Amino acid sequence: MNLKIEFEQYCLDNGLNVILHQDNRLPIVAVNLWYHVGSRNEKPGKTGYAHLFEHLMFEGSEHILSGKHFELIQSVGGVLNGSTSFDRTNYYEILPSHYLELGLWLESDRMGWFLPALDNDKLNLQKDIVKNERRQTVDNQPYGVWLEKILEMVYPENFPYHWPVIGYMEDLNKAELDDFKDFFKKYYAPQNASLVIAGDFEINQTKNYVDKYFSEIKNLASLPDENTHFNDFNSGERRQTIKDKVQFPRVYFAFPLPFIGHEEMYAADLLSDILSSGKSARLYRSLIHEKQICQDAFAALLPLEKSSLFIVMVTAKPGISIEKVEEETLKEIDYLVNGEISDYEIERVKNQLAVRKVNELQTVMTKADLLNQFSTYFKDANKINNDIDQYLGIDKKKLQKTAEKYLQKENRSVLTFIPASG
Amino acid sequence: MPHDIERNKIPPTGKLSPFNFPHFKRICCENGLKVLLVEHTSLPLVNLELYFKASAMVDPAGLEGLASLTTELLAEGTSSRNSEKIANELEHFGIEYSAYADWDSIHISLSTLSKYVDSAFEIYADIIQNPIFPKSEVNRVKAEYIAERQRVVDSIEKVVSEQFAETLYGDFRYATPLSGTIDSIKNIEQKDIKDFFKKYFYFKEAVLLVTGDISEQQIKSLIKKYFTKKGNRPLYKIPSLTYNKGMTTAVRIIHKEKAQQTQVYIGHIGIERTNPDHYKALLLNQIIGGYFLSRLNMNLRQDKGYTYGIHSNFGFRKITGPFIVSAAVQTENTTAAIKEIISELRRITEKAVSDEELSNAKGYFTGVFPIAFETAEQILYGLATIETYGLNDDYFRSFREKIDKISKNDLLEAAKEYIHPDNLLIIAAGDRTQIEKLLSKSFNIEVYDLYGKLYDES
Repeated sequence: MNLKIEFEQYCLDNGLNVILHQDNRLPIVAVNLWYHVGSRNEKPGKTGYAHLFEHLMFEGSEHILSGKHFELIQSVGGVLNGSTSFDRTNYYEILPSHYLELGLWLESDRMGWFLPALDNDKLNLQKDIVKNERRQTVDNQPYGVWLEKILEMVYPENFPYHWPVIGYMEDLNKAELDDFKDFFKKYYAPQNASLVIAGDFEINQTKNYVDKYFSEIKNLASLPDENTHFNDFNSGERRQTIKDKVQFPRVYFAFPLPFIGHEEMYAADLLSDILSSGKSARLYRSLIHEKQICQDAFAALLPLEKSSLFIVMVTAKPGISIEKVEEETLKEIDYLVNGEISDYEIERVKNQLAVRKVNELQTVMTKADLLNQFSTYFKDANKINNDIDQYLGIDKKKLQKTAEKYLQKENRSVLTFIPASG
Repeated sequence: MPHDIERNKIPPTGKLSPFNFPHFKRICCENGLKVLLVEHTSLPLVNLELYFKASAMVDPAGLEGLASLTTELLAEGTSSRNSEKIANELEHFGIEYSAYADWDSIHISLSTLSKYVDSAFEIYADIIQNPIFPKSEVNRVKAEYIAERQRVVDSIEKVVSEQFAETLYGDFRYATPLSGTIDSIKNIEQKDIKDFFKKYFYFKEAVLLVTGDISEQQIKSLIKKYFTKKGNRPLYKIPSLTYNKGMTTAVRIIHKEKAQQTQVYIGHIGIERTNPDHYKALLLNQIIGGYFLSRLNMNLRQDKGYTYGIHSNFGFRKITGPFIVSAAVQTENTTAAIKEIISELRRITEKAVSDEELSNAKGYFTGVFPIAFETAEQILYGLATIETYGLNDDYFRSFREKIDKISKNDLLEAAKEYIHPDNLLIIAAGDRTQIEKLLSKSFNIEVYDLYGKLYDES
């Protein structure tokens, strides 16, 4: 099957990377803008600022009054949002295609003319909203602090994945206007951004729009410092136990691995599927179906630019001790290292992967986001077309070697939640 | 090339391209099964969804959760395959399978690469026609359901949502969760599941929705080849609605020690999906709390910063679902937030919305329409909606026109009819030591525990 994503890529004089992908099936268009900045560009004591900054970007810019961004897009049936991760921040609109120019105008204004509209009232309001977001999604959720605890355990204090994207409450409280002015000046400029337009549009007209709205935006003086890759693997087991208001105990295992795009990252992604991609996968078969000691069991890979994380999560069934659950889960992880991986399993996870990849191509938004991902992390948008080959090329030997290298006791952090009594 | 830009001006719009909901074919099969097909050949995928018109509404009293449990157990063993074999065969081809029962129907879905459609269909037909519900699997899944019920108290949002339904609907089926209660699940035996299957899983009562890279001829021959069972027409009656009409605007506090926020639910009975006024209800809800530009969001989030997000929603079902406003609000602003929500609900019944509010909400529905039908799943959902609620085949094709005709006055009338600011059920789940005192200055309050019992301090 030919599922090649055709695109055209070019750069404006100010350094803005532009990628155009046409798909005329529906009269809609996605505008997807990535800034290569995330929580890893923060400093300890000032965590959560990249994400709080993203909130401020929806509060207006010099030519667009506060609140107008949402109004102009939603009142014509557009969908919009932004998201902040460890390595990048994205902003997007999906619009009826005849509103493309509107989307580009809005994005260009906050890229070029954001600071004149920024003030303390906006910052204070968004601080309140983000603190409520943290309460709702972390502090008031069962097991809600799991990821931030894992990050603190796995990565050293000076490594920029040591803290959570949403940030710590005390840091959010301290945030001041100057922090965000500096943040903008340092990171929000054309040469640190990438714009994808995907969907139903006319190519020359669109190039003209991009030029019209973005080319006069000035560049920044220097690019931000690059962090280095994480290399401190197998530095000893770490363990922590937390009491939480939950009914059942749960344990998380986390193993640091090489960065996104590394061959061993692809292998680890497949290993996580061997453990948990469905009811025929090992964790379900063993812990839920046969032994019936777990209520849920899950493995996943979090691929990031400087280091990926292999995570396994299992929850005990009522009456089953967490020690037993840990022991049986570790047997499954150890079996990846020491046991056999069958050809049948490898075929399964590769077939499942192929279906997932085809499904991703259904929406212009996902295609746009993927083009930006490959372009931003690998400086090669065409990797969207051979990403799947990276996975298919992984053989049994590579899987076993990767498991052997990284899924060892010395490389793991173990976080256990136990129910707080009363 | 220099451009002449006025950045203060909103850019002009381009040329509108037409779009409508895809045409679909209705196909009738010998065994009475109805098929709706949308051919969609851009990707090598086929999506199937079989649904039966039985639902959680036919769960016998005391056996709530039976429809869910039966549906879940379909893929846990057939006369020729055990649970493991089914999972292995489906997943080996990368086939995604899921099944669930809700308030209006039972859905069994499958998504496959088109090259595997024959194998996929064979297993699918086996699961649907020949399940044997082995005792060991029944016991295992029951234990999982019970454990799931036990941990509902971990999630404050689930606790509030379930106590809201229970209080609003009293003895009606909606008062009890879809998956039942610990007691009702314990009561369900293998025989009940087998009986339920025999009674309700008939092709004459089913519709198969198909989208993707597949032709009419192909789907017909697959059905002929694999859907071989027929059967009688089931006889059953969906109960009619009884609910608690004597609601007063009092506040139920659910005490959760050291809660970091207060989860608020406010609402009452809404309108049924088949009511012709549902277009008005949709538009009305959009303005109240349906999107970012809504009154509730602009007031409680964007103006006051009380919450990360607030939403309102009519639960559209065959039999009247609820109207609910929900938000997680900052503990110290709990009372103020509840008052603001009530005042917004009152305001919408007293004065017509502005021209701008009306045109924004209409513009939203018109513009988002093509985005809402981009994927195979979205198209299936559209087809299922038409079938489930007996809507006209041109329902989606005339949708935007119907929305466009609604006036400000229509909305005021609809608000007076369907929004009841003086008759609200209000639940606030948080730490009572932080919220009770202030709330009691403005409202009559009752304090409950996480399990729905009156709170007892000892």
